Amino acid sequence: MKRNGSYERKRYLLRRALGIIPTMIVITLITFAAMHAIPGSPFDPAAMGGNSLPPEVIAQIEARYGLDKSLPEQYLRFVGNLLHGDLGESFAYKSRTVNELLSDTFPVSLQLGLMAFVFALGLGVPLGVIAAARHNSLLDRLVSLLSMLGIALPNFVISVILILIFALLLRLLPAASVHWEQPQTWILPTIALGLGPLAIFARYTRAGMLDELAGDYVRTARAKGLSERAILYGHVLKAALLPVVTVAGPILAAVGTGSFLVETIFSVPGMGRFFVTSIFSKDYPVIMALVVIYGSFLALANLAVDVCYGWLDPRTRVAGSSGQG
Amino acid sequence: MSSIEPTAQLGGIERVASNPHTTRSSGDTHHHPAARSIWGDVWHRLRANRLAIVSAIFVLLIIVLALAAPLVAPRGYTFQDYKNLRAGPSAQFWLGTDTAGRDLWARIVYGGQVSLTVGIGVQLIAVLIGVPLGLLAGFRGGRVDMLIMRVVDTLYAFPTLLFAILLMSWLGQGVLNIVIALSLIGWLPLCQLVRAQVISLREREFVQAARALGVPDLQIMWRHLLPNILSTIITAVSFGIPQAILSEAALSFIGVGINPPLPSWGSMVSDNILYIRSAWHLALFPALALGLTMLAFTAFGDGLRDALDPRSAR
Repeated sequence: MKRNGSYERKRYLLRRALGIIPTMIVITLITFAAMHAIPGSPFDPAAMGGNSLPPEVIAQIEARYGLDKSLPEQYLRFVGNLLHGDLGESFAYKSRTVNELLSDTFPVSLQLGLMAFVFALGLGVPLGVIAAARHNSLLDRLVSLLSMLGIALPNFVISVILILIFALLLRLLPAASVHWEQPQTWILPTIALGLGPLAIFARYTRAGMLDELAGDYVRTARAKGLSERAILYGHVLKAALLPVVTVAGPILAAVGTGSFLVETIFSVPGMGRFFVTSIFSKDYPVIMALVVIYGSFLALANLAVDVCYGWLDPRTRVAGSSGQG
Repeated sequence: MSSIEPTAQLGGIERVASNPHTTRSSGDTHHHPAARSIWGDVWHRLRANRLAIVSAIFVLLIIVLALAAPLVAPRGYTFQDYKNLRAGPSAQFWLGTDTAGRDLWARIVYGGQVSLTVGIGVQLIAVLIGVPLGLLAGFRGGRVDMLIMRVVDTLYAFPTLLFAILLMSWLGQGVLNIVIALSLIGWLPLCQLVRAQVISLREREFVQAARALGVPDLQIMWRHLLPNILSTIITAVSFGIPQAILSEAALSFIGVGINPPLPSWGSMVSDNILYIRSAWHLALFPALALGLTMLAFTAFGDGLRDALDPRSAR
């Protein structure tokens, strides 16, 4: 029975993993269609306020980038190149491939995102645990207030406030993070990006802990004379982390690749700027690359949540499939 | 302007309350000597939450300011005073002027108009799309459910903001288009939430009984299921509004949101963040306006959820 369950679970996870493929096909298709639905050529300088070029010249440049082919052909070529790890050439940054553009900027964004995630998880969960352990104490209220602020305040508002306090008022840290090689430039963007997730982690941990602490098994454990510490960390925490794991996936996906709002405000040299510039300049290959990167990150993060779920809660190992139970 | 007709809410919940199988709030169900309606209970609990009440007053204040914008900010958002460029706060210009000599107070008030229009408009459409689809998917199950959830999952697989930016560049800038683009994303969580609730209600006795009696599906959904998920919807909407306001600010921050002379808190932050060293107030005030609005909506939503569902209160 048990073996059967874990087999079912593995099959389910495999199906989920394979399910990423059709999802990616659909979202790249929609993006592709939406991009081409926007009128105008990416190579028409007049669209960006430049002098207009003769249509023949534009057509010639388009042909050079393969835009004269039919749409299905273009899409298939994109997929074919993608499978070889080639994301094509950028239209806007002439003479540079998308792979080159991203290899410079993606690591920066990823580093910022992961730092923010670790900061949020590493501080948020302990804060939630402490708040729940001392329910209704001053500390608990403080954590609740902090998590309310962190959840409600958008990261670019937090960014502005952080810059004003730490860069302009106290002059402790640089306001801009252009020089990413200097670690002190990492601090403010990391906090700005991580504060919201931190608040969410703290809140879910606290709520989960309080839920579990009210459970019968805790009363039994207390009656057995187990120490409060053993109950808290031995039993309650693991069960309480379940909802935290659920939200961790989407948060990792949202934060893991940085945030272009935070990147813009702090002038972080990450890939966030392409978010905007690529769409304004109709830089198709870059747009597609971003969709692929963000989309697959999101899908993988959700898959990771599913894997963690089975590990944390044995009950879901069997009833993993999406059918109604 | 409100998203759900108040009388429908009242009737719905009272009907639920009279049905012992569907009573949802376990904590407060012993009968009060002086009979108080469910909504009376909700109001009673909400009133005890000081933070929620302060937030509600603040939200009301923002709504009043936005509605009375021509009165409270008679200069308008395009008026330029060339003698006062980037001026600090003064008696004449309460919050100072921006780089083009425009009254920052007026621009923040009119920016609030944009924020509220988007926030409420998006949630209105999101409810109209998400709730019926969620009801249908959860109640019917089977192929209908599969189809609807496929669509939801696929749209969820998109990075939200990227999807919105893409839609905006396709639709073109403007408040109406922001509402359309954000609604297309905003209905997803509502649909999921409603579906999940309906699935758990579907097998309950009162629904089974109605089915056995031959009550038509539509009527079951409308009269038996909807009233039971109303509080979930209300809570979701109260969190969805600030979310939409934030998304509008983000889109306008990037430059694909509102059409420029019209102010938006997001575009005001992005336009003025460059001058933060010389004129700190230009980016700070719109950021604070957005932050406080988000805070008020979130705190009110929290209070409302706790009042609607006492079990969730801590």
